[in-house]
Amino acid sequence: MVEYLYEKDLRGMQFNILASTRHEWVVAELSARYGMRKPEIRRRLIERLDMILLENLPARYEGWLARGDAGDDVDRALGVELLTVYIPLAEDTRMQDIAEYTRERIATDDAHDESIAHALAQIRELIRS
Amino acid sequence: MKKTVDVSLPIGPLHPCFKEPARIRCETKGERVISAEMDLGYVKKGIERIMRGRPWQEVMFLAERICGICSVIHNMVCIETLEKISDIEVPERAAYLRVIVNELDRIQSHILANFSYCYTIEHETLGMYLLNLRETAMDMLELITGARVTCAYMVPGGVRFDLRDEDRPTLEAALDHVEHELRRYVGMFEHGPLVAQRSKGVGIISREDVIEAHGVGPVARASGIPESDRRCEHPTYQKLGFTPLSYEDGDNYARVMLRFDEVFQSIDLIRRCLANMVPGPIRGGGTIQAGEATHAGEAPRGELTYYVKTDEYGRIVDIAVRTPSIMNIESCAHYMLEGVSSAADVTSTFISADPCIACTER
Amino acid sequence: MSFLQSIKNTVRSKSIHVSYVNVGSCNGCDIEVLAMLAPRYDIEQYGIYVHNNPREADVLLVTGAFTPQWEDKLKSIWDKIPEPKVAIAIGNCPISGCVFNRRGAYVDPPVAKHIPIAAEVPGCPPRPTEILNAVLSLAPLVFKDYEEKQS
Ligand code: SF4
Repeated sequence: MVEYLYEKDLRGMQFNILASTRHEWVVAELSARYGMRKPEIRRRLIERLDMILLENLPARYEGWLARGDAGDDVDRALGVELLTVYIPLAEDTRMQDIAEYTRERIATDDAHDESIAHALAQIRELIRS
Repeated sequence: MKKTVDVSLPIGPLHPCFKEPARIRCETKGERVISAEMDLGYVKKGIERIMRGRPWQEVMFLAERICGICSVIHNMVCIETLEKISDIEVPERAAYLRVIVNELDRIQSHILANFSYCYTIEHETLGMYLLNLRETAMDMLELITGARVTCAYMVPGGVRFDLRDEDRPTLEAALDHVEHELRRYVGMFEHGPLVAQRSKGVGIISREDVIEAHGVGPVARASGIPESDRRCEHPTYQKLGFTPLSYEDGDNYARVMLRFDEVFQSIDLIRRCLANMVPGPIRGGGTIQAGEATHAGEAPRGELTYYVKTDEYGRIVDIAVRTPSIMNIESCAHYMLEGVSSAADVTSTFISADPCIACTER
Repeated sequence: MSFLQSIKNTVRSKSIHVSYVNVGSCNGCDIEVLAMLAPRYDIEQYGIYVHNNPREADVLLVTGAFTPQWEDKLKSIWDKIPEPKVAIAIGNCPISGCVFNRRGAYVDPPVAKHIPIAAEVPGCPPRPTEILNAVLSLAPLVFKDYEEKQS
């Protein structure tokens, strides 16, 4: 007799973790930054991260605010380290590519806001994929 | 030829080494752990949800029951947050009494953590010695506060009971006893060959990784970040001339030794409090007002942060608690366990971070 | 009383294996169960061993208000314990839910809904001596003449 005792669906529990005040704040910040709806952000977080990382989201986000992506405006605007190191939602190499491309574009055509907006759209796709 | 196989190794939720239910899923190659993930949710009670909309008199008791091991510090930080909101001053004697009780709580918590570690590395004798020593600290807590675990000693504006003069010698004798005995046990721990083999160089976490995962408390201090101690910012501790300790190695051994050292430091702090204390009132007055504040204190496991918002009737409108174990377990699961060389070291490394699942999940 | 039964009685009275499970407590009760291990209380003089392994346990100490995650697991732990067995609820949490039994909480007390509880030790948390006393006074009631009572 085989009982799959542990492989229960944990999504309910993970959602409960995201329901606290501080997590709400992080989800709101992420959704404002990348222009995605909150339920979608929550879904991606639940899919990609394990439970202890979910619990730790606010501390990690604060850590990024304090010292992540220091020294580079483009990285800071896109949140490269935010999405690869602090809250790993996106693939490292793809993120670097996007940042590299944006930096080049800004250097050549000087269309700063436009390039950032374009890159954010790409990142949105990356998170969704 | 021997073949190495990839295994996914689940540990828990009910494991003889864990005091509390948690589940670690390790991806291993042979016995070497490549990565680990945690499943939680076995003790999620939703305390923050219960707290909302309740008067502070109830929230005080709920706050204490977030964690039973370090209930005093939850009590203390919760009350201090309320005091910060409503500008309530604490009498001097009460401030010292708070520190005494808080340090007694730290002593028992650290000894318990080291007991668990010794028990996990199968050094049961030393573990039992430590557990017996902890009872002395528990007795002193009971002597001052009237209860062993959930004592609700601190109230806004002061503390509930005074330390009677006739109890002072008992407390001092108990401190001497703990200090004397613990010296012996620390010697055993330092010189035991088995202990060194199981602890030195196991579960290393570097300074950078601690910063990245926002590790706090003994985990951070054992990796060379002494400034992470929130006691440095507490006015009473500043008056006592407190300086944090630290180790450099960041392995299991450093974490356990740091806890031992902090017990001695706590004993020292209590002695200094007793010397500085003068008779006086232990409870002032005050009303809880509307407002919001964030306040942090140093729990035995690290930085504990309360964000509280109250309304004019003293009810809690919003509250968010960030407990130290969240960050410590995360640094343990994602950094320390990586590269641990056997499954037996997984449990001992996990225990060395002193995880407290009850306050992680609340 | 048969000869075999008297041997079993003697053996069982000197060997009680205890396992504990936390189904959503605040940790306070767990710590008191753990403190019971301390040499001060010396539980081994009564033949009590804390193994925390349900497969070889006689007594299961349950602490904590019941969280939904344990719905299937507590039952399966209980089934794994060989007969004769007994479960004791430690603390107010498994009895009534203690402070957590409010609107909005995720808990679902009492534990007696899920597994048969033979004794309850109230307190928040109870003292180690009280827990010890409960184990010691319950064990002979359940384990003495177990086979003869069955038939
Ligand atoms: S009865 Fe009290 S001490 Fe025990 S688990 Fe419940 S709240 Fe904690």
